[in-house]
Amino acid sequence: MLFKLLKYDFRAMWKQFSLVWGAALVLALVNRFSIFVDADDRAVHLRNSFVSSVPMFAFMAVIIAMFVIGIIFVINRFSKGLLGDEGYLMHTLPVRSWELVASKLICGAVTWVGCSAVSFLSALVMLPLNLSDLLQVPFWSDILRALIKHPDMLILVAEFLLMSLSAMVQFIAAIYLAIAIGHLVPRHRKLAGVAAFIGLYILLMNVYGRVFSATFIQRLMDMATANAYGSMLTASATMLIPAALFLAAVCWILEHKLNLE
Amino acid sequence: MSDFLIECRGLYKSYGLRPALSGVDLEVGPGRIVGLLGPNGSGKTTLIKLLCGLLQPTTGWLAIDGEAVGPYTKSVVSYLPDRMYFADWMKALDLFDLFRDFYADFDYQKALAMCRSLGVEPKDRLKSMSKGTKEKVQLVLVMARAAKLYLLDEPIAGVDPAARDFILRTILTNYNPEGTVLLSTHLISDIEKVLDEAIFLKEGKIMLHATVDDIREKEGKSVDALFREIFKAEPMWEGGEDRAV
Repeated sequence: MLFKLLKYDFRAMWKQFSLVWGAALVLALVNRFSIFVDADDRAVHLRNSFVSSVPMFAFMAVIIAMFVIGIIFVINRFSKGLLGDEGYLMHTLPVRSWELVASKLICGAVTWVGCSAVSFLSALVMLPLNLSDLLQVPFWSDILRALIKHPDMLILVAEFLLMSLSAMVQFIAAIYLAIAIGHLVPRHRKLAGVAAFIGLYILLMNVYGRVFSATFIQRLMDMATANAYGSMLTASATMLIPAALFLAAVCWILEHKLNLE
Repeated sequence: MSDFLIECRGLYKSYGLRPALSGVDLEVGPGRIVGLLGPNGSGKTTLIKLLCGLLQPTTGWLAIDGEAVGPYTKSVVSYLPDRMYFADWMKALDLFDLFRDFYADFDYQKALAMCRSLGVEPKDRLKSMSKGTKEKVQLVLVMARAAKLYLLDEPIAGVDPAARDFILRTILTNYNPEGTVLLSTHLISDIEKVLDEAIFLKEGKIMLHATVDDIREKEGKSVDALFREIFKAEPMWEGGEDRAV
């Protein structure tokens, strides 16, 4: 059932973001040719004019809008989708609460990863790279050889991505729990949700402060020097444990305290 | 397995300190058309939402088809809420796909046929549809299922008499005869002719639960007339004082 839920959540995501992601990439391409001028000697020069700054301004606006919409999307898919009018449909489907939450979480995380990927790609598209240089075999064989020589680089990159993903999941889980707590109060639910979010992070910082004493952090630093893999995995775990607790609390509230008045 | 499709024992639900349902005991069997009747604020919607799992009881116990409310009961309940639950980006066809994916008893072809007969274009975006058309789509979704229990919350409220007949006809010609229809309303005269049983709710308590034939036989009056008698409100006179009768 989770995959069926994901199908509809991803469809909603695509409807919302296909336009803005496409606009970001197209504007990046426009900027590539409006900012940089390809000279005859294969050199690239900067174009310095008002005309070139307009698409750049539009591009920046689209990128900012994309991240703002990304945050609003994650909040709305949970608050309206599960605790608003759409909840009348979602909570009458024959699925468990954890499946509803997992579907929203996965879709939310993928949305943010998508926004980050589009930003990264846009930056690449804007760079004055020469396509013929990029398509040369020696260039890629050098990269491949370097990776074979230092395979740990790939592991480090993967662990860094896992750590970033863990931070993202923890943040989304905190948003969900704050909204769910806000749902428990009869009035001013949004305000209660914001207060709960702030409270959760104060609590989290306090717990981290107590658990991660100076000695523990020193050990972590030593481990990072000796073994970078272990330190990043530990960091991921320290973020995923509270995230799991937050999500368990969200599921419990939806299962036992759901109140779609 | 219980003989009853709906069973409630000592069901109590309060919103803050205000009770919405107070100690409801109820048993409803399969294959019945039941009217859940009561004035506004009597607890009809609360009872239906508890049966759907959209609300949790404060105390008490309820079961559908012998099971506590959960994925199984949701798979056999077809619910028509008193509001729209659509996402803006969807088309009616998207909703039909969703229902086909989640409910084994959803008949996709029947949904399309119902759309044709109701004059709904399923490829249109829900966002662009009128309120009346959206209500028709929601009715199609509910009635294209061969559910064990149909929970219809005020399906004929806020529409003109011709539309009421139209909605009732759609319900009666499309529901699964082996299932039970629980229909909440305060417009009793419109539905009395189709009811097998009536449940009168007043201030969160069941005042009466009987078959329509029993009511007519024992009380010597129609369900509508009995309802008016039980829920008769005394008019206020000038100065806001109740006049002693």
